[in-house]
Amino acid sequence: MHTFLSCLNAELRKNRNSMAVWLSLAGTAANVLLFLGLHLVDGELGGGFSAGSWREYITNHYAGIAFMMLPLYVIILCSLAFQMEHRQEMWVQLHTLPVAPQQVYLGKLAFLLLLFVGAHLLFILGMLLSGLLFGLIGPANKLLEELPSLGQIAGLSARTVLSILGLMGLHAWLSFRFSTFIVPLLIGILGYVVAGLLGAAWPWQFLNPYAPSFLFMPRYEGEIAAGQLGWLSAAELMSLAYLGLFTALALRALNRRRVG
Amino acid sequence: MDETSQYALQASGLTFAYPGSAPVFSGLDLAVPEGSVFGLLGANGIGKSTLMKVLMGLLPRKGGAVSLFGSPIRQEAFHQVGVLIEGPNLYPHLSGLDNLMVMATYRGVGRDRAVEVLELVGLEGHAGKLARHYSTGMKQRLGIAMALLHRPRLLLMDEPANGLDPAGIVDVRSLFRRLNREEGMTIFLSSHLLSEVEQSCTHLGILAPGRLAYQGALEGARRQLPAGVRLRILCRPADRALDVLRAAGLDAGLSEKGALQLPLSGKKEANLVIDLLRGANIDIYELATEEDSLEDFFLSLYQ
Repeated sequence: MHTFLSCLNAELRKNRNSMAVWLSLAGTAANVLLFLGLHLVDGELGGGFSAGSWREYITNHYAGIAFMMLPLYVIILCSLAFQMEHRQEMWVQLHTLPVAPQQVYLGKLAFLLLLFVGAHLLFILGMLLSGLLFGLIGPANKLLEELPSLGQIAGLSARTVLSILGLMGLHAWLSFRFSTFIVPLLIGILGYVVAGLLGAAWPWQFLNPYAPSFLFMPRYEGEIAAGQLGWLSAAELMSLAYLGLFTALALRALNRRRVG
Repeated sequence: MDETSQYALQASGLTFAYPGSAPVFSGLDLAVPEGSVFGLLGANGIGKSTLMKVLMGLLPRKGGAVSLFGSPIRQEAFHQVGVLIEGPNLYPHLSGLDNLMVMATYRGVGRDRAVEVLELVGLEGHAGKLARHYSTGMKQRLGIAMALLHRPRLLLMDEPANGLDPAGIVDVRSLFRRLNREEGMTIFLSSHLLSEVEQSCTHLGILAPGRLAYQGALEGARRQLPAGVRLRILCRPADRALDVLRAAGLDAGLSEKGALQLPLSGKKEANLVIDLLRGANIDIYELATEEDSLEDFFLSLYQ
């Protein structure tokens, strides 16, 4: 446990000023501003989001990011995090540490998850602040008259994180296996396009590791029915399974590289 | 770890080949005595870095065994080894100190030691500068600092003089000597520069294609050099001079550039040659003695 925490701490140190962190900050800010803009233009120009309540405002935000931003963000984030090691051949240093390479990998995966959760918390904060601003600018809505539902936010956040775990596991593994930036990115885009073409209504879509992030919103809004195991949907369960599977594959590959 | 082992690093029967290629080396034996400064010498592209990577388990060996301080090498052994191979490997977006702190965090080493090794390699004034703005020499120094971070017993350095200016090479050489003398650190370094190895090392290994052609103390290599000196003479007429010397029973020859060459059992024998040539009215323009060097020894192993 101590070694894992040291590895996570090292990841936090090496990501100071890193592209992955800047992407998370800039991407979050851009999304918040984009959705505020889309809500503001709706009244005057049309084509944007309309929201008369916090529930609608929050749902719009999650529908907006889940459609494309989240999968792409996770794919690029994983590529950037592993490129940091590939580009400078840092694996030479990392493999000559008295630490199992598997621990280094798990530390990186944990960092990616922390960064995702951190960026998502910032997104929630930005969404709430922009909601207040939207309430001030557009008095026709009721955003200043009611409180946002923390339960709705917590539920959607938890499902967001759950839904990207499989994709994160897959792309962490791909980004570790391929030393070029472009290959995992292309695989990711291809996977995303295929998932989009198959559509949310395809009955086996829950098996697609690229699908869960945009399956949970239609399910949330009652547009599709999905298999359920307690609170978790089939797609979310598969997301967890994919995280386990691809992490196991990466750890197996690293075990072969372990010295001695 | 076997603390009583006399070798810091030992390899036996080491064989390695890249997939689909002929072996880079086969059945190679290597023994780096503890407390030595061992120089691995070899031409460019001969496989010095590959050998170092195989020794450290960064490339999978096809056969043979590697031991560190008497025990088979394992991941945990890197507590005792500092490595710089085909480096330096740095995070360009981090400062020099932050680069060290990343590795210090993995190794459980404190910030004080990171600052100390920066001073040791002469980078104390550049601790906060981003590594991407470092010169090649500064990056090399930072790579060395990274390898020294945890006070290793064995330092493995692949071409440590790469990218360093002459003053930097002298600094690093004296740092290695100091670490070896004062802290008893064993240093295993590779170089394609014979002069570098001659000035830094107590032991020498010469890597020829596919094998280790020589390994042992540097003095031992020097002892294998032929005794005596060679005399080189520029004189006119050279062909008559050759006849005179041969008639006197000397083993003289002509070089491609028209200079006379002959081996002497000692420098005093040069007087006899001069007397013979002047006695035959041959004009001498230039006369020099040459000793066999380690360079000749190195080249003889390659032939």
